[in-house]
Amino acid sequence: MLPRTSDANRSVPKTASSSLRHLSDEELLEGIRRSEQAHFNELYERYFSRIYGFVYTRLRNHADAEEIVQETFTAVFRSLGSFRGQSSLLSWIYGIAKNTVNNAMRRSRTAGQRMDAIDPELLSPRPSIATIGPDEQLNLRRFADSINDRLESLAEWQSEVFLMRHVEDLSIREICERTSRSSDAIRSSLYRVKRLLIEDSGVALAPAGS
Amino acid sequence: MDVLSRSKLQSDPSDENAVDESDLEVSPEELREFLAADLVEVQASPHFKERLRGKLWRFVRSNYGRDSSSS
Repeated sequence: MLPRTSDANRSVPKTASSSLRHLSDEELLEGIRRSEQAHFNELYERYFSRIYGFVYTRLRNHADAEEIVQETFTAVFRSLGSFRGQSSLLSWIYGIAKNTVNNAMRRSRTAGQRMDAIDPELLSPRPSIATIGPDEQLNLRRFADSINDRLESLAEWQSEVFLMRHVEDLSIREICERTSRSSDAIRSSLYRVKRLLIEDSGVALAPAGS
Repeated sequence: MDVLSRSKLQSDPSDENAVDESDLEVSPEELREFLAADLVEVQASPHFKERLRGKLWRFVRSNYGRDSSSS
């Protein structure tokens, strides 16, 4: 993993315009609503390290932090149209970041509880698919279909990464080389898929007919 | 209903994270903590940062700007 210090984040990116630094958040927001890229870059630079640091301090994990930072920014920009200026943009973005982290931590706890609650019997060796009854075969087929649906709802590269890891049994490094993506991005993607499948398993493992 | 075909995760998780301004209660201490995150000794992957920037900018351009429909 890259050594991580704060220096690089403090440098001025080539895409930000120093002439906009004097603008308030609200003025930048007006520019973004007019699709001004310089305004967008200035706001992104102003908040990226702040949000990343805030999230990382709580999660202590870069892969998880990337996931949550992306969710936070996505929520911010999806909701910009409805921001009315009743609060400061700073407060509003902080509220979104806090909600996103709290929701993620809650989801993580719930997933952990689900894993703990799985009946050990379910983890014991199962009979071959050729020897199980038609009902169980149907259930397995439905479960496989639900996993396929999940994979199809992801970006193509994310489902490819999942299959490389869990079907081809490639290492993270091998996947990085094959996809030209960072290990953090790979781990983050695997985490996202795993979370989807774990959440789905609570449904998939329910007794048939319930 | 077939529990296996239920699709409860189709909604975007970012929707649940948005906040209503009128319900927003943020204390000065919370804001100070948020601002102090600027000083956290941690660096994000530059690759991640730029990829996210590109993704967000494409979203802004198509939803708020010149590429969006002129409705």
